[in-house]
Amino acid sequence: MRALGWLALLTALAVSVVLAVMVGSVSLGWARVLTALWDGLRGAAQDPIVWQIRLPRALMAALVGAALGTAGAVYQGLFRNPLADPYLMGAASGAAFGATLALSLSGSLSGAYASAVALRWPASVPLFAFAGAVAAVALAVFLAGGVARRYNLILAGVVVGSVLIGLTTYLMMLDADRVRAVFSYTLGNLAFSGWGDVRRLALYLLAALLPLFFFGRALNALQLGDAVAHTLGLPLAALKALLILGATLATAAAVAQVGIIGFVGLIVPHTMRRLVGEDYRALLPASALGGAVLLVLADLLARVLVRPAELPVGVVTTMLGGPFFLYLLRRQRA
Amino acid sequence: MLEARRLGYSYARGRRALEGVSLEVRPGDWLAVLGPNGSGKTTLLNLFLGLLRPSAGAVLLDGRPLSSWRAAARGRRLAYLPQNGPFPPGLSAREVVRLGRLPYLGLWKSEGPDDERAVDWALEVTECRDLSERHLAELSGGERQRVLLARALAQRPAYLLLDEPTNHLDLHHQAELLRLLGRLAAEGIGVVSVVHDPNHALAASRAVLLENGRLVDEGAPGAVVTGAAFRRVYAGDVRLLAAESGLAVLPRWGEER
Repeated sequence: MRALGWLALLTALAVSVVLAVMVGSVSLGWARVLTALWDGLRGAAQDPIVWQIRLPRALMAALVGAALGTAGAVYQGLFRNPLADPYLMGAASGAAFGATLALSLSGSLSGAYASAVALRWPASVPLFAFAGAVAAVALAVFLAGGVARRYNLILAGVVVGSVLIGLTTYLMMLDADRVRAVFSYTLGNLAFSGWGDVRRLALYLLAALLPLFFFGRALNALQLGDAVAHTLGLPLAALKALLILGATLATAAAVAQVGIIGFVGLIVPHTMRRLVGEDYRALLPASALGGAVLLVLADLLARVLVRPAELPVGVVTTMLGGPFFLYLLRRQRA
Repeated sequence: MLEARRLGYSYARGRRALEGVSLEVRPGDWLAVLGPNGSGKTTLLNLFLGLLRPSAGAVLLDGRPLSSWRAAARGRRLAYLPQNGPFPPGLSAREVVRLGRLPYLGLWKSEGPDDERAVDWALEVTECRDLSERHLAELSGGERQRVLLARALAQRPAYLLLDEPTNHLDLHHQAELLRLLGRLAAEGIGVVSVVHDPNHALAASRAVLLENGRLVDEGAPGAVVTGAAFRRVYAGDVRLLAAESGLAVLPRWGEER
């Protein structure tokens, strides 16, 4: 059963990426997509639609989804709060504010997208995004009076997030030229993803996300409460700091590249619990895979729902996530 | 030996929660800690666990200050069962009990035969064998409490500290748990249980009574609950029944004093 779950996840990821490459203004048959992928891999001529436009975008969606899904699972385990999510905790908005501030300070806002700015200010955008995200989470925890009161924490996170989105929008509105870029940060969009973005994000995730997968047993132990985790010999302060930093850095890296994409970190871990169970050693990698699948498919929907125009993918995940949040909330209270 | 030496603790605003408490727990002892709400029972337990740092005096484990122990080494000597602690609802009982091996394995080593033996023993002694594949969410309160106790026992501790372990258990499970703690003490584990109900202290081998952060009586449980200090602390609120089969402590109700 468990093995089947993993097989299903991996198959779903492969199928969703192929689907994402097939669908677009020019539809490609699956045979052509597979041939083009194979040709490109073995070094023959690369089909430009497949290799330059659709594949990097699909991979970007997969990486961002993996980052947000895993970050959500880590937040939920760390705060023992089933409603925790990078978006609802304020981390994503903090990252968006930080990234916008970096662009604004560097005078590059009209350059619009992080990738353009990254040429001149390679480190400042993700760095500011990370600082913004950590500050937002810290502020939410502080305003909630600690992490014990789960509804307070989410309320505080949402309030901090809303204020930061307001500030982000204000920063952008200081110059009318910058309005286009507002959309890229406050409603995440994958439309501008190239190989450079994929490489950059992959690098950040290697540093932030990969270590998290080794803390499954620690997260399991944290479910027994802090006092018991302490008596089991876990260095709580260091462990929690590390988990928060990892999950927040992954969130910030994703947001700095593509903007805020809400609710992925909420939907994915809960769905994966049904599939692989509640053991964090399985739940973390499953959330990465599930997040990748969800976001690749959500981006596919974003591209076809209002054809020939496109929706920001953040709109699609929010439409899915809002009802899902209410469902969880009802189940919590029941 | 687990030892409190002139132990004191003050909270930030200067309220003294514990003052000058000295006591010893040896392997095979079962010490019941009695006292009204706010008398310092939980503070004492938290100091024993290293969750709080003493503002005066020290906790010694095997003769060394608790604060000088490495966390994992401490986890192999001391285990803790909280009152109504959180638990992972979707893990099987066996997986939860395996978490008790953390002080031996750290975060990354996988379980070896020794670990599985300790888990088997813990499940056996708590009579949780048949529950081992069930999820914690599916268990009754009493069953879950036993699994969580098995988790603490899988640490193979020399000392087991419990906060109100009989809370929320029905009479049958209370009796079962008290018998189990007696067996564990007989096997040489030093047991410290904080109890609300003095009747449960009667099952222990020794009792201490705390009042306003001070230790005001210590001795055989029967002697402590019939002693002058106990009567003073609980004023007119209790009555003692002596029967052939033993002693019972009841809350006093009605007008008669």
